[in-house]
Amino acid sequence: MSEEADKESREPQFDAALVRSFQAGNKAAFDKLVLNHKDRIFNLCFRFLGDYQEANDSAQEVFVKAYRSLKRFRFESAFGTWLYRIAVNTCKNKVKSLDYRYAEKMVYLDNPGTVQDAHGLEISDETQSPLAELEKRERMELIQQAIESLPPAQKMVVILRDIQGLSYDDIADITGYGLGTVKSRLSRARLELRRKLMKVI
Amino acid sequence: MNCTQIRELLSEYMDGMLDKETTGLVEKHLETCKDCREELASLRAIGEELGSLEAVEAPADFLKKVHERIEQRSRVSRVIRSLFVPTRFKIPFQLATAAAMAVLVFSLFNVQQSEKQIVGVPFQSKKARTEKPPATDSLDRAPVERTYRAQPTLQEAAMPEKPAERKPVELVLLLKREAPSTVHSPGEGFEAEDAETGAGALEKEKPASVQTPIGKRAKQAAGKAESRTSWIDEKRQPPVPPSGEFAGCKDEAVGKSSSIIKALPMLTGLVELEGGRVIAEGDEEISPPQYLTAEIPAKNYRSFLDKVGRLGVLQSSPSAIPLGDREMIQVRIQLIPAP
Repeated sequence: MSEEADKESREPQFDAALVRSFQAGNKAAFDKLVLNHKDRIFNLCFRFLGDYQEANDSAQEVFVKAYRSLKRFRFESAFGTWLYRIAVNTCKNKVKSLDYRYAEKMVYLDNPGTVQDAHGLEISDETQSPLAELEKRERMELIQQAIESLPPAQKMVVILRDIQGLSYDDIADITGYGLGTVKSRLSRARLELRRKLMKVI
Repeated sequence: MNCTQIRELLSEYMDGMLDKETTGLVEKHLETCKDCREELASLRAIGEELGSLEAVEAPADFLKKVHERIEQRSRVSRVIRSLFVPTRFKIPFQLATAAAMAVLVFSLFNVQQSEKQIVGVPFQSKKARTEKPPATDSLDRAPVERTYRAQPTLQEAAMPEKPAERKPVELVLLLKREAPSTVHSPGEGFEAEDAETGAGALEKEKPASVQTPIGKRAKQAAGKAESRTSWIDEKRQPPVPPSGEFAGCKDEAVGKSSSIIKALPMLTGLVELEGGRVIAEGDEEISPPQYLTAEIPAKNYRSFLDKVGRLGVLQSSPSAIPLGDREMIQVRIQLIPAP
């Protein structure tokens, strides 16, 4: 844990160095930034959108946008925070665009394959019994559904805090909400999740 | 604090975000409240559950796909730029021209429409209203009709819009003094007659018919085949003609008539050069000075004036173009012979 924390504390400096390198003309530095952040951004998109393909599309878009704007990056915040900000806006726009909610929900329910794809990647623990694995998968699905049912603002805050493990300050910075708003939204989101998942947990 | 208030604080309490005082209050409550302890426990469980959700990782070809999209987008933007950059300069001008034309056409139509409505229709209906009752009541129709025939002309005269609209631009061209030898080869008699007529016409009441043959003769004498040219009564001349004109001096008279005779075809040529047409020349076979009424395309109006200016001195303000947007401008040029 301390090792991970140490790595996290050093990360912004690595990122900043890579961004400077990119701004100096080294395009390969961008690839390293993508590789460093792709999973976190992907996970955020997947948890927010609840669909693997949409998450893939959105996460790619986040990095494409980052690539285009990176030349103008002014180091006013950490690269990771900046990237999260792009991701949050991209995901929100994705939900807004089209009738994403309805279109994807239909696919989601009719064709559990998309969900299985996603969770198939997650569950690689072969030591568990098939029954335990099935139970775990079911629970994950229920949790994901409960998250998805939250209002977008609450959903984003709870994902950033409880899934991505970000600090309140970072969340306020990324979402643009005040600290009080972050606290109240998080509190409401957690109580709502507890209500929905009471039987499961 | 009651349970509802405490439960709202549990989320922050869990994350250690409360200040010491509030933390103390929450802990004190939790000691005594079993429900709230359970609530906290389940909130923590939820938090752990969410935290333990295994991260969904990006597919292996993620970076490659990002690269593809970056290249694709730069290609697309290049194509878009190549499509739109030239039009960014072209379209506004074309649109502006089209819009200007539309406004022009619309306003012209509008002016004509409103003119018809204001001058034509209400006027006629008014006329009809006033005309009908007496026409039916009266036994003696002839005088009634006469009075009503007279009425519209009076009203029309009172209406300034219609005549103003059609009125040509009035210009006065004071012709340059001609060298006598170049223009005329007429006999002295004609010239003397002409000069006398010109002077005599200043009395204003000489009948046109008397002067016409003289004008014709003078014209023929000048050797001009222009059949359309004719003389106009002198009363049309500007109010204060140069005094030398009345002296009856032969040379002046020669210059006077011949300069007009020479200038007319030149003016006609100028009108045609600028794409206009001559509507009328002179005033019904009356003796000098001469008028020429022509239509000039508005766009050529200025250059026309410039060229006319070379024939002599243009009096009046030629720069003012009436109703700026008209396509054709009617010009009525009064030719004043050189003194």
